[in-house]
Amino acid sequence: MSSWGTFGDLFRNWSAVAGMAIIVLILVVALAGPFLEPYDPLLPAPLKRLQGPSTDHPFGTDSLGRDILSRVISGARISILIGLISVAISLLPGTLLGLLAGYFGRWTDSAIMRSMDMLMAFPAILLAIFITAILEPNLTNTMIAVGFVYIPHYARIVRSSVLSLKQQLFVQAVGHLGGSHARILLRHVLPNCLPPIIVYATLGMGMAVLQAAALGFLGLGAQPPTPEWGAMLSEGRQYIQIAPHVAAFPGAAILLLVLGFNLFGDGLRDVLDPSLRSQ
Amino acid sequence: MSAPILDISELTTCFATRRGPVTAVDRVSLTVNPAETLGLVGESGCGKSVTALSVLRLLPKPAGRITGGQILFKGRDIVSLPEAKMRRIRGNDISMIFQEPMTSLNPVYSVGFQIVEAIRRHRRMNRHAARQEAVRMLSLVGIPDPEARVDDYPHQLSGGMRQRVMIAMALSCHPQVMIADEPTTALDVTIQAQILDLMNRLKAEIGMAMMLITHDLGVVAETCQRVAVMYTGRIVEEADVGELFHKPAHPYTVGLFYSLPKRGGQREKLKPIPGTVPSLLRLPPGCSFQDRCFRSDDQCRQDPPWAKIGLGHWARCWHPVE
Amino acid sequence: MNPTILRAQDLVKHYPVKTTGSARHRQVVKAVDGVSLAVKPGEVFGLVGESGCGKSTLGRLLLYIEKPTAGRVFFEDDDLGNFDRRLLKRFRREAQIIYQDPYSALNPRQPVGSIIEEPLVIHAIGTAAERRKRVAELLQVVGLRPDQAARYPHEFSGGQRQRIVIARALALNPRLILADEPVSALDVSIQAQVINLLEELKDRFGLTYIFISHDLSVVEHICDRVAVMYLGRLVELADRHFFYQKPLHPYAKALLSAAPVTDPHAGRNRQILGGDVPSPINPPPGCTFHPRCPRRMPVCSKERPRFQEVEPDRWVACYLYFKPTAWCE
Repeated sequence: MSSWGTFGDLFRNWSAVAGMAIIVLILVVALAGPFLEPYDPLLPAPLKRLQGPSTDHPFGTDSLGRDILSRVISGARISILIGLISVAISLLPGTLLGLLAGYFGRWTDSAIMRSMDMLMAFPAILLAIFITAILEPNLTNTMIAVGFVYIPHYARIVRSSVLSLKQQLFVQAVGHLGGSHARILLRHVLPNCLPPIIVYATLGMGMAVLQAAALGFLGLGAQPPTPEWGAMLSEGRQYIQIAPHVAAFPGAAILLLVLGFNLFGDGLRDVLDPSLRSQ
Repeated sequence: MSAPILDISELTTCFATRRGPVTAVDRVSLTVNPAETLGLVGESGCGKSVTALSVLRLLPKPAGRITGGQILFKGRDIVSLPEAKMRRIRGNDISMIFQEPMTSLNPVYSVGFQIVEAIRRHRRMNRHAARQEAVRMLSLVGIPDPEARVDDYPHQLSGGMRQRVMIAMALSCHPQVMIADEPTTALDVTIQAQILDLMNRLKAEIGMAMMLITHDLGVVAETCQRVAVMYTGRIVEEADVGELFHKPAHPYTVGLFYSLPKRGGQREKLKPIPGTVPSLLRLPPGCSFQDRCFRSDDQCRQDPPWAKIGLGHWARCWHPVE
Repeated sequence: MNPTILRAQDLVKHYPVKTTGSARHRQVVKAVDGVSLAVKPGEVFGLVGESGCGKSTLGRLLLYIEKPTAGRVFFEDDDLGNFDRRLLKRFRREAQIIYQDPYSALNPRQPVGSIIEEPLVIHAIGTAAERRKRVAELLQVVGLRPDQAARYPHEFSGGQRQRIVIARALALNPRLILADEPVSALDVSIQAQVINLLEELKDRFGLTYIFISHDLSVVEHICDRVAVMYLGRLVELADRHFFYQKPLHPYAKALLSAAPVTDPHAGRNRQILGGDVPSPINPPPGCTFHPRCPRRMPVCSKERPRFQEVEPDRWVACYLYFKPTAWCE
């Protein structure tokens, strides 16, 4: 029996299961994308502009006559990538900073956390806009910007875990045995910080997708003709009155993915915490 | 001899856990007489705290439930009492003090406020009169300068003081029975002596009955008239305190005494009870102590009977120690 | 053989109190306020006192886990204050710790075999195979089974976890073990098992213990000498027999008489000490115990009594037993 609780617990939690189902569905769609797309997502067909949902085009066509279903499927890949990469960009430096701040305390803690505070004082979207405006607006830079914005969140979470772990005897014991700070941090503190990080990362993927969509909506994210869901939402805004389906389907896709991440993250949090306590 | 003020018979409390139902209190019968202290002794997990919570119907819902037996308080069964009536008894006729005074007191209210709250819940008094009463209680429990201390917050008081406040709160409605769950375990030895002395004095002055729950046999010797020993949710021995300490009969009780380092003794090697307490989910049939007992045999696989050892002295054992 | 294995000279440890006001009123917690003692090899040296007396802090200073604000610690003849990081790491092989709380002393995400092996890994001792063998040996020595090495701490009971803590402490073959309330968190019957184990290990491996506890019965049982602390200072140090039969210092007397005795018919001439333990931030002047002392004299509030040897190997800090240096009335 491992120390993390059993997988059985995970499958017994309805929220986690529902979330996993949605994520797996979208993941499969994303991976199988090219084979599922009935039409080329990038190919304009001016004669078929703004057609409503039909048997030929279940999601209808957009202002350039492109099949929305194909674009949504293609966009799934992009959104999942955004989730993963943005979270990675936040998580790695954030965790490192949190570890150092929490463990060494005093000046290191003050210096790091005050800079994190300054970063957090900016509304996330404003900061992301700022970054993409400096670098050129494209998908990669969107991911960097969104990732950067969430670094302080991970730093705070990790620091808080580290502060309470420092009080635990087993962490002090390694020092009493002659262990180095590096050993304590990497082999004892970090593994015990993981549960809150994992939960936050899962929820963070949903947040990253939303932020990227918002940036895309503002025209700062993925550039046309990339079928990123947020950009598609933006494009569809103009046609809300006459062809609501252009915005509705990408919007629904965003909602579904974020919902999936949130449900899974919530379920995961419940599983990781009490099962440890009940042992 | 007057009737017992608290008469518990065949009390059974179960908890629903992920791994199945657990019987934390198994057919426990105890009596507490007026102006007497009954000690309930056992190690962690034996069910003594759950017994106390069951009496006051403070079990965590929905996991914990009383599934059998009755608890007669002054002749009335309180197991089946509706919650509204039970609330009138709790804190008023039967009150309880807990082990950790810091977590039992609300840190954001002054101690005076909390005592007044307890008083006004059960007695008709205006705020001014209740405050006077609170000051009187604080002085009764030996807190110096009570007029000033009544407005202090819990964190401004030491552990011993906080426990005295808890006792004051518990006494404020002049209960007839006080249940004290490990009241001095978290306190230093010299403070423990003060609190035990206080409790003995108050009991004599007020004539209150007390059920004292503890794992510390020394505390029992200092404060109790009668003692019941619990193991895995069952009472295994019951006797007057002098009898129990000089002629323990149940092998578990005997084992406990042998495990204690003796004061003023030669350095004999301790004779601990081998093994560990079995999980409540996997108790052996019959006597739950048999796998660790130096006197057990096949007969112990059947529920042991109550063996009479002496006057008022009973042990639940097939082979009690002579 | 060296007459002392560990010696402390005028140890002081002050902690600054975080004040929210002006820096002018910086207060300190005088956790340890001038302690000198010497531990003999092979003995069990008991350190007793109530909460806040500084015994745990003193333990940490003795093993140089925290650096003293003033004073020195000598391990055999070496001043630990002169040790650099490398030598201090080497010293860790000689002196180890057993902790009070078996639930937080083990990393819940580490299998117990790895926990016990860790000190060997830190000091690069042996090959992986040799270490595994040693872990199996150690598990057996503390009364557990070698096949349990792959299990996690939560699969063990409190008493078993404490045995794992002990096994880890023994891994490096230390000469000295600081046992900080090693049985206080355990049930009575398990306490007895662990106490017996500690005694066996002492005899088998020739260990020296510094045994910190608030439980006087346990200390009387296992220790050879007993030192009593009050508010950061030693008030009495004596051989166990003499201490328990006839304590000298009024605080030691009160402590011994306050401890509940498991005999309902024992005489009740108990000395109940009034008041609370004062704060180590502003200890009373002179003898820190004088406000609560039933035998106090005027000089007690003026001059701090020195910790003195009043009989062979019997030390007290109390003017009842010697005159103050300057006669002040």
